[in-house]
Amino acid sequence: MWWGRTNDLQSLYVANNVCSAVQYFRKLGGNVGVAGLVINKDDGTGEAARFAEAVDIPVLASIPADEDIRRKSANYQIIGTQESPWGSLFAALGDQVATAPPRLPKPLDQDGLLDLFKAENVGRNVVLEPATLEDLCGPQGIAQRSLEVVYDTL
Amino acid sequence: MTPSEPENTVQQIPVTEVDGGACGTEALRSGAGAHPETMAQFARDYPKGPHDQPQSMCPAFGSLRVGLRMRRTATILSGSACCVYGLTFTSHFYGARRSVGYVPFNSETLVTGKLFEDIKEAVERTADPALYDAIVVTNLCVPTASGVPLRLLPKAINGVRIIGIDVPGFGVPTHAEAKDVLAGAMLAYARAEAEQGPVAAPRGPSTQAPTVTFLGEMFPADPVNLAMLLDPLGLAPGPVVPTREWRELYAALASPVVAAIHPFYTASVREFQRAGRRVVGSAPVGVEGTASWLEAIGEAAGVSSAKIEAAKAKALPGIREALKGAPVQGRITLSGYEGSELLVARLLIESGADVRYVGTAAPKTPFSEADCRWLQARGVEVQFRASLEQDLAAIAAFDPALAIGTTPVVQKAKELAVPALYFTNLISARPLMGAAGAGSLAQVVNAAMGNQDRFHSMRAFFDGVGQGATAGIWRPEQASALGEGA
Repeated sequence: MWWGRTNDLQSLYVANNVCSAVQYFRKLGGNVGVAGLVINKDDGTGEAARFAEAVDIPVLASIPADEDIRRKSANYQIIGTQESPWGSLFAALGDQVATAPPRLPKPLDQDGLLDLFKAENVGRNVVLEPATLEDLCGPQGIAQRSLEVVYDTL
Repeated sequence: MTPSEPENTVQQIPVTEVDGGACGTEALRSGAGAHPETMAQFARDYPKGPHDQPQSMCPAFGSLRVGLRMRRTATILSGSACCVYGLTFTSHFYGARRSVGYVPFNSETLVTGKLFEDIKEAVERTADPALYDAIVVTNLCVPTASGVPLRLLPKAINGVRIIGIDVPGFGVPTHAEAKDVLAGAMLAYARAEAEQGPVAAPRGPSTQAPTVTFLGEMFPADPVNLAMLLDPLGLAPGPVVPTREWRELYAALASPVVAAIHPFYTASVREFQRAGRRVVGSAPVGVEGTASWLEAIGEAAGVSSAKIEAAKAKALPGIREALKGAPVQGRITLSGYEGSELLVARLLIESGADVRYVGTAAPKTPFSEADCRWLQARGVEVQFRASLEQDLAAIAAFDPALAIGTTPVVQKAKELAVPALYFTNLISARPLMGAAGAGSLAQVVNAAMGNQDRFHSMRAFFDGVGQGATAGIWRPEQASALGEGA
């Protein structure tokens, strides 16, 4: 089970590494699985959900990016009680964690992971422009040594 | 070969195995054994077009011609005998009046490396300082593809410089760019000499004014026209590269500004830039072309804007007058492999012609950029690395009153009863720059376009000749139709 801020590339990169590790461990003869993904601080952009679908693991719960949760959590207040509006969410998560079977995920490769995100956010299609001599050395760097042609005097 | 085998088994390999199909065999196309760095540099300098093989003459003719035109320069070819025959035949047809050396080879000498030893021996025997400043050794397709390492030849023998170049049809797309291969190799050599110490001074009176080197072979009157244009800028004309003599290379490198009249001299430009020289594209053709060229040259040479304006004021009225006095009317398509196609098109348009298409065998380079933009702004279709098919399609599409082009283009145009002019023989053989250029082109162009009626009457007279039943090919069904019996 992976729990973190999950709608960003860095979190999903780590989640994908966990999936790779599970695969690797299975190849070595070990037996371990992934129960599923908990999307924390979910801002609704959907990358984590797409990731879960792509690697074939269930989403156990989606905890919204809510100011109330953030404040209470920062003050060490328990939010998963029946008195709080979030009680049922965490109760359902508890049930899911208890009953979810271990699954063997299919980790994504680097490009597959980047494809979950919008092109402009991850710099897809960016054409790299090499630095010019002027960029590296300033205007003085451009001033090239000039060949001085000296003629024989006969 | 193992030592136990009799030696003559190798000698029995037929020579024709190598000499056979010179152009176009698969092994040659791939250039399997060619020097990888040379091929990579060719690929960078001379980008391929729609066709990856030359569609006109063998590219090696370009570099051969450059070497044969230089004083005190010997030329040695290494390649298939049939290629060398064709190249020397053509060079003598164009008045070389000089022997071309040839190192023959067969399968064995090629494979064992003996060919390189033979070339080395030939160079050593030729290197007479009393006769020669330089010897140019050229690998044609087969020795290039086999990787005969001319770069390992001595740099100089008895003071005679040795220039070894690879000019394969599978790496150098046009004979124009082959001129650059040799010019660039010579400039690189001369630059290294000038870096070492004093070098031979140019012939003739020395000039105090800074000079401008011209890149590209021009009609002989054009350097004179260019000199007159440069004079008010306080600049003097330098040598034309490819040069006619070795010592001109030093003077060419000494010029602070280089005018790339022809845009395809990529390797030569690299040598000038390594020497710290400014290279300016385009050429002084027509009013607008001359104005922007004088500005670009003046700016590159650090001439004051007052002087530039004075130079323009002196040159432009005469050009304007000449253009007005020799108008051209009618639709023209133009194609060629000289590198001056865009310049000629500019001049024709300023003369009043309706130019619709310009095809050039040269690639797109920074030095034709301004001309390309000028033409495209006037609705002209500009095709770099144009194929014969594109040139012919332009004639079909635009229905011109005159087609200027290469031999096969002119041939096709004449079949269609479209007046046509050979670019190389008739357009390149007259001045292009300044006021002299403005007047001269109209004469030949108008004369050709005036022939339209004669084409129609000839077409009517010869209509059907050489086609169908008169094609000279015996077909029984046609004979029986004529009542001659099968």
